Amino acid sequence: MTLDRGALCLVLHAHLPLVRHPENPHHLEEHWYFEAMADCYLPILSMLDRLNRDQIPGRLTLSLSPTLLSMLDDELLRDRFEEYLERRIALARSEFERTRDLPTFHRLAGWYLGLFEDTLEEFQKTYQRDVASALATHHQNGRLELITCAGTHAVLPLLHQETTRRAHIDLAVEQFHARFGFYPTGLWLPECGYQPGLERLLEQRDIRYTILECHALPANSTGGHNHRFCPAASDNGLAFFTRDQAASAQVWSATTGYPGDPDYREFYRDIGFDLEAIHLGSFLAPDGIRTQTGLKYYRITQAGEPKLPYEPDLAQQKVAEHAAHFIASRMEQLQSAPQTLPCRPLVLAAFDAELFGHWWFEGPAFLEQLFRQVAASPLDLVTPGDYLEAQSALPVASPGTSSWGYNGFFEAWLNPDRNAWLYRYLHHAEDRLWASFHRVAVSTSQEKNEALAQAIRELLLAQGSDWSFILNTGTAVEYAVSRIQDHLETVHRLLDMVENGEIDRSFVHARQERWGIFSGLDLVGLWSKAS
Amino acid sequence: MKADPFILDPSTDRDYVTLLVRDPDWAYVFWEATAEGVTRSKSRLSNAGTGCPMVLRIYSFERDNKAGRSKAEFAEYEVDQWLGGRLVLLGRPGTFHQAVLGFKGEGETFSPLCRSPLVPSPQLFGGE
Repeated sequence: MTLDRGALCLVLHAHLPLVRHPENPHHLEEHWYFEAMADCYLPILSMLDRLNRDQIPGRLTLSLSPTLLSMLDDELLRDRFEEYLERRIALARSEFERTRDLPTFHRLAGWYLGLFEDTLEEFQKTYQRDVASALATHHQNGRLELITCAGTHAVLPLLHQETTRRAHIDLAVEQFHARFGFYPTGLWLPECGYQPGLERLLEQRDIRYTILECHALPANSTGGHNHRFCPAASDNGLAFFTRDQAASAQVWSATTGYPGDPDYREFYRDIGFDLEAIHLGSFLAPDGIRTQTGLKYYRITQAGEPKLPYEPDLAQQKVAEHAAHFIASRMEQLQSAPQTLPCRPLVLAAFDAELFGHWWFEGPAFLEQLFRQVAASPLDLVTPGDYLEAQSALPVASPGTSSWGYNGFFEAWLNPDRNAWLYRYLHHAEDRLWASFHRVAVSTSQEKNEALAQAIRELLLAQGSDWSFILNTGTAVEYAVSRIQDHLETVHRLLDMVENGEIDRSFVHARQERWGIFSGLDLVGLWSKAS
Repeated sequence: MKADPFILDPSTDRDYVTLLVRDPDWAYVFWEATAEGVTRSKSRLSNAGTGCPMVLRIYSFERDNKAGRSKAEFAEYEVDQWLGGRLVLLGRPGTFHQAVLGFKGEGETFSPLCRSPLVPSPQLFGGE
């Protein structure tokens, strides 16, 4: 085969749970969003800008979860993100002074100061605080293919009713359309969680493709088609792309993947934990809790050796080497594709977007190098949408239940020792909401409809996969439990009101103000259609 | 079942059993039995009131259509809580499973209280 037949799809899935606490200006869990904005989303955006400026070919696919999209458009979080960056800048400035007699760290503190100032300027001036619109511009100019993800990122196979699965998909598609003015061609299933039957729900919304874990499809289907290099399709033409394991492992694995290279920045050595509290300024929470600051002075370093200071230039050299290695590995893979494939051979590499820049600091630079080096290779960087446009028909196959979680199914979200207890409550609230809905859906009362709409929001927010995942990993457990409990209590309280006909409007409006995701949509109407 | 950290009431005042497939081999099953349901279910047994342990049966079928459903096999777990949950072994990937909560009487008689829908377990394709 000739390598110019080979296609490479790079797909990033951007998602964070909706975390928003107007009542507390120092809420630690809001930092998840601020860190991802500063270290991941903005660096990826500016990378796309540079690629456009330099007319480098290639397209990236980005799935934006509805919860993240809602946060990107939230004025409170925009204000707080600016404050967060200003605190980072103040800390870097203070570090620049403190390290005056420590040349290596002084240089690094100055480097961080410049980086944080640039990030704030980009956010305020280049993007006018509106990251979602900047992404939409890249979709329009052809650099990005923006797609959506279901509802509030629930693992759809673990929901109780098919109507709820449909509602998650409908809401995501409608929110995407309302925000961007066009419908998504692809939908990322949360956690790549698939079970037979979901394809019908996607087809009903004219979704053209989704992405599954590689073991969702048999290695060879009837007719001997090799799905490792060739997507499949449902009877009705929904395309199933599968995530390539080798490409994933090279980037994702903390031990054998690129991010573990000794010259890359060490994530866990942050001055928020390394320095005495007196040096941390406003990054020390009022209750004395320490947190990540974004100032990290060390590289990973060879195992067993004392940590060496981070050297950005050295890391950049490694980035270029790793991008070249990644491309060579994909070309080698594509060369091994059978000659008899009914399609153009393809490797699809899909990752959490937050890996790039947050967990792996050099990740956005790696992506940029990848684009630049692919341009000089026989590979094409295409999107699943591009691929389907150029492909007449795909072999038909029926994927099996699967996810991209640990061991490939649902262990991470259904652990009897950690989080399985949760589903009794979630299913009960889900069943009760549908039962209430069917009893009162014909109501013409605006009050009741507002209460029902908010009950829907609260249920959706409780169902996000993040909470059960957090319970499984054992980090931020208290916060996850409090969120689930708060949302589910509110579902029942609102349904009590709806069923008793005694709506506490101030309570409903307070919850709308607090947790108003999907606020521009007719939630009750969409819920009704889903049933 | 491990105690959960909620202060919400776990009871729904309904008799139900839910089977959630975790992977090709295992499922998590949770259930609730109400006092009324227990009384009603036990009353169908000839030795009602004398023992009659509550059991969870996991039936496995080759096919999902009732008409052509092959003969069921089941595994049985004695359960001592009216409200509980546990992992159960499904065994064969790609087959269909149903959880039934009920009471055992004399002579292997069984009085079902509630049952889950029939659920497929994932097939193992093996991936790359």
